[in-house]
Amino acid sequence: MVDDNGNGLSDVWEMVNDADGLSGALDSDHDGATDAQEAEAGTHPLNPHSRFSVGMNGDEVSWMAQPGKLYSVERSQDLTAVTWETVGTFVGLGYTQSFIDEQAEGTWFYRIVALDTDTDADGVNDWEEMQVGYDPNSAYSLRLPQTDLQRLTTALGTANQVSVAAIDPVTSESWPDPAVFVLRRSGGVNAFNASVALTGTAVQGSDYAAVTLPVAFAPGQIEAYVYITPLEDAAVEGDETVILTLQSSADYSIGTDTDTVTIQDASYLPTAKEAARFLSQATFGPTPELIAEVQSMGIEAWIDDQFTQPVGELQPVLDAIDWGEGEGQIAGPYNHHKLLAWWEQAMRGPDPLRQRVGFAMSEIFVVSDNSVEIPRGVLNYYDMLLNNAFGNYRELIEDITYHPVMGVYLSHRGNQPPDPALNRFPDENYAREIMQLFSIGLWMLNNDGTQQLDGLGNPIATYDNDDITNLARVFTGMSWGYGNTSVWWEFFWPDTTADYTEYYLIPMAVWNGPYSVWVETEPDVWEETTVYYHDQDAKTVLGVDLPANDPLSPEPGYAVNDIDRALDVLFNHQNTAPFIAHALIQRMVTSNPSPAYVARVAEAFNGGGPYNPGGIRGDMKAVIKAIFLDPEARSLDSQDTATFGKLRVPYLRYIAFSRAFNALPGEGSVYGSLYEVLWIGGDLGMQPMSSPSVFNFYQPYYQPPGTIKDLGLTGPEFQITNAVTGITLPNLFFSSVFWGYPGPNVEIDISPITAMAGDIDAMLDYLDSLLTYGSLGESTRQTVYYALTRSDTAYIDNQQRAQLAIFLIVTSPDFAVIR
Amino acid sequence: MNPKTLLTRRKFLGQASCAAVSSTALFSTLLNLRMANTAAAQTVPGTGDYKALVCLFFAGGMDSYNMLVPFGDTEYNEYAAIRGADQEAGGLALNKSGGEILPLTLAQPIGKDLGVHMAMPEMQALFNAGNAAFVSNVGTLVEPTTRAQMEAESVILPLGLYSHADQIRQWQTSVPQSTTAIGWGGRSADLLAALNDSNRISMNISVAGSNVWQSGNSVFEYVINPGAANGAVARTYYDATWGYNPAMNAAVDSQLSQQYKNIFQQTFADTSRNAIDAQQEFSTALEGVTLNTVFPANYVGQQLQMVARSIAAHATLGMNRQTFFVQVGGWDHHDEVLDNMTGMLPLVSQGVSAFYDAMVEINEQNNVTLFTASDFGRTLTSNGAGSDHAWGGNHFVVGGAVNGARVFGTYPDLYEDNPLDTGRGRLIPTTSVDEYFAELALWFGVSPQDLPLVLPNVTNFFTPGITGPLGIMA
Repeated sequence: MVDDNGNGLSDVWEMVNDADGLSGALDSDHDGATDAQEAEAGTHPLNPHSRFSVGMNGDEVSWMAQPGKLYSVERSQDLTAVTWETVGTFVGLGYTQSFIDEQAEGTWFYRIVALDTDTDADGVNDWEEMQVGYDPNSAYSLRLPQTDLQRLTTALGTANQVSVAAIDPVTSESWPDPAVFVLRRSGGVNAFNASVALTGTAVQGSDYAAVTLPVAFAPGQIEAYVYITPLEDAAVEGDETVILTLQSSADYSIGTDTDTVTIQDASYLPTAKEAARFLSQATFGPTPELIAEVQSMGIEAWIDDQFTQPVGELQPVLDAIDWGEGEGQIAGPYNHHKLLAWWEQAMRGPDPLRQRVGFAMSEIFVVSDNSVEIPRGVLNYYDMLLNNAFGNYRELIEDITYHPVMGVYLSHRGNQPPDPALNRFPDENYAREIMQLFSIGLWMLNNDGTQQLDGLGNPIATYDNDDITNLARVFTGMSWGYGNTSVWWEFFWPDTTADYTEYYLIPMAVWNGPYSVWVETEPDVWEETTVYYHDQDAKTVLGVDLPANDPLSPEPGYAVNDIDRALDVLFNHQNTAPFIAHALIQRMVTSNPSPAYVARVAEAFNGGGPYNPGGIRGDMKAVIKAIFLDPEARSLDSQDTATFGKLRVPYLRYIAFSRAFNALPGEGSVYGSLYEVLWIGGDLGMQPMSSPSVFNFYQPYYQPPGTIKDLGLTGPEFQITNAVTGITLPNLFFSSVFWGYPGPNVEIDISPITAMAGDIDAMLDYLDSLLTYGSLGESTRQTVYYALTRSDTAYIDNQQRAQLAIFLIVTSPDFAVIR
Repeated sequence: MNPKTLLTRRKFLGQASCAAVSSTALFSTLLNLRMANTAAAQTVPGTGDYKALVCLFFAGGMDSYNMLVPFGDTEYNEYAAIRGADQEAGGLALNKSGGEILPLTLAQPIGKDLGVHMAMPEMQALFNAGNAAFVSNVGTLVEPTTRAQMEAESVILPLGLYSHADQIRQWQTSVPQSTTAIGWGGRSADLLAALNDSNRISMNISVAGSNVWQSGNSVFEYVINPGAANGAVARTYYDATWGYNPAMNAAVDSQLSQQYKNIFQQTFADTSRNAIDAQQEFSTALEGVTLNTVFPANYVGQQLQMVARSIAAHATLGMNRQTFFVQVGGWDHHDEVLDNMTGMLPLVSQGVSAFYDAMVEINEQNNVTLFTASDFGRTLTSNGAGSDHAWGGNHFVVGGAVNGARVFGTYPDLYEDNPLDTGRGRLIPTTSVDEYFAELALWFGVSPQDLPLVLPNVTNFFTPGITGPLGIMA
């Protein structure tokens, strides 16, 4: 207990109750408890309604417990007894606690004794520490150099000083995320009110919402905030200002006494914060240049412009490298080399919107290099996704189906029709996954993405095993595009001199038949038989009959048509629009879109809505516009909704960081001027094109333990945010910021931040706008500000200030989530 | 003293003993106890004994009819006929006369002779020595199911049969009619976590990332890194007292302990905080725990070695009940199933054998039971070079408490179109996952009365009693 005035009462208790000059034996408020007893219980000595009391209801003893106190439950069978038997001790939790002594038989008397404890043995007891916001488990709260007792004793004897700063100095009528003044208290620790005056050209109540004054500081509180929330009016009035000036008071002296924030007039063009937030969803991360571009064009016009940008393909980047075993050549390409191309386009591609959408597609239409170790092939597949990102879903699903990398990954390449005699059946892998993951999903959906239910309230399956076996027969006869489909054996062995890795670069071809094949029916008995490599029988897929091929009047191009007809069934299924809409929204905007949002995007897919004037089903441009221009994606209300947003996947968090600080390759890499950032996947728990399975790195319905699960919501990306990556990811940021980038010859450039570090509030405001689109929480900002201004960091230089600030923001929950 | 009194007493002491720990730990203690109270309160705390369950999950759907294989002539011929004897022509049958099957010595005859894949001599030895058993044709079922019932649609079938994601989840939840993400290991832990002296580290530890099996209503898995020296890598300079490190880490602490309105930010902060706390406690406990047993130097051996070391540290960690999740992926052999199994099964066989040896070394072999699971079995028929997704499959259980050298359940007839065959040799399971897991849960300490809380469908298969339905556990 801290008792510098030596009156036997806690100085902290005296301070929080504003009670000077008590002596323990009196009962100042005449409530029956002496001042000393009130001090022990932590109750108020000057308020007769505040005293420690115990209640009894049946056999349940209850009392109001304060955090930081212990409560000893004691019993005796006889009120005259001298000794009480301690039954146990409870930790105070800040609400009414109760106890039933089930071992008791007969009559017992109970009493509750409030006790102080000093867990960290630093001379300030737990109750006192909690009153002033110290850590009761550490003698050196906040890891400061002085003990809590030294710190508290000093503070109790020091007067308050208050300063003001505009930490979020600009707001706008059209993006009314409040501007923020902070009042900072130093010196003392007591409660007081700070008086302020608000002046400037803006008028309280009409230009900005009324502010509650004066500004109250609780015991131990070091910062208080004044929020300036603009009110939109029709007036064209230009920028207006609000000036906050501290008024003098006996409770404090004044440091910096005034600062100013600006309210920008409403504009049809986005603010910098709004632009940065959009870019955090729709690209791999904002840069100062991109923010300016979106601000000048407007969001929809910028999206339209992105639709016209050249495709930043990945495979050509790899193809430009001189691979080989010779002098000056590079051995490969191997799996990890794909990242050279991926990084190049992620960092410097001409088409940031397409790159982001393409990555989302690669998490839905998954192939992985853990089973297809053909780097150029996998990049070719990725480029196919990029090329279809602004095309039509029907073309996309066809290109996926015919892509040899998918043919190998989900093993439909080389599939033959059933042969019951051989007990041979076509592989069902692709047939299953194209339905479950790439088009319609497992359950019948309403247009808003919610599940349809049967009469018993159960979800309804979209397909059964017969659909799978039928669809598997459709995907037969497909093989390497290098083969000549008029020759039967080229179904197995293309007659080409091309290297086998080239097979993965051109779409598969379809062998139908009939082919005349010599078959060894018995040893040394050969027979000429007619063979088809594409199944000629009728199929039924999702209730749609696909016709057989009549051998007497065969349909020209039957195999290709058969596949086309099956893909049409998937394309036209009622589930496809909400399924794809939900998947894309979840990857880029929010984990739990409202049904109405899904329905609006599904409508765009189905050819309706404001972004699909042509009425074209499957138009991805319309889908993308519907996703990003939707009010749920765009509104500030969403940003402030507790359940809105998503965890950024670790790899993209790292890319956003790299883009924000303009990571560039220098000279001297064996890969020329490419980003040699090849080995960070382990620390991040993921790597583009390296999913562990066709189910991506995480599953769309994953529910992390805690609030998200309790609310019945999903947080897919938390599936790869566990106790391992919870450490390795911040460690990667640490080494990248302080020790050097993980790519040889690649460097981030934090010199612009270092140049600002003389003014910490200005530096943090800039980092907020670049990394967290103006949404950095006041509490998070406070943690960084105090790290940079406490006594034990007074010696650090501006570069270290910048490094610390960047590290603390990119590892914060504020940066990890986009909302 | 009746059990209710005991629990109340325990709740009382549980609160009192938390005076010195953080509120997070206190909170989870209360959650665990609340769960214990709402249960029938029959799963009574034991007397400080130790038990651990280790789940070895074969992700992708192992072709387990090539792991536990017919050896007697009649059953082998059936097997060879349906799988295809000619490996060159895409047949999938192991060649018995070519020595590709190692015979097992069954302590209790089942009317068939069986063997294991030639790549598993260590498993053969464990089995013949009575320290391992097999469970045959086990799979996800809501209720006992026949082909006639399926055709008549008069039976509730598992959702998403033959699909990886669904079947992986259902093997881990044992509730095939629902998409719940609460696993039966998690539900067991909800009931049994009160047996442990510490709540700082979850009793459910995964060396293979997040999973459904260990996810309960109040207990969740703690994911460790089998590649790190003591299971978990530390945050850089987190405990450093020089330079700006105290200021930096104080800011980190503040960020992770403050309240966030946004649920994703709050969950991220909690997850990050837990990662740091758990790492510090876990690494300290594992420091200095070494085993003489040599584990194979591959990812299977590495995972099982980390599990063995964690078990050796259970007293330091304050654990009386633990579960471990180990995963070996890559079994989705639509192609090249024979070569791939020959390459992968030795990792399993050698790793499990070393794990059993390590348990003997620390004298925990009777307190630790390892069991296997997988998405599904695979089609008996070939698709030309591999097999496709199916249903029932074969699994093994290893440990001193196992009634070893036996095959439980029914090893099915394999002839084509037999009554279990739903087509292509997709076999309807004759033993449900509930029956299999009931054995393990009862051994682990779940009471018969509480068993339906852990395995909601269990009463569709048998009436829970003190002993399990199959007799796997001694």
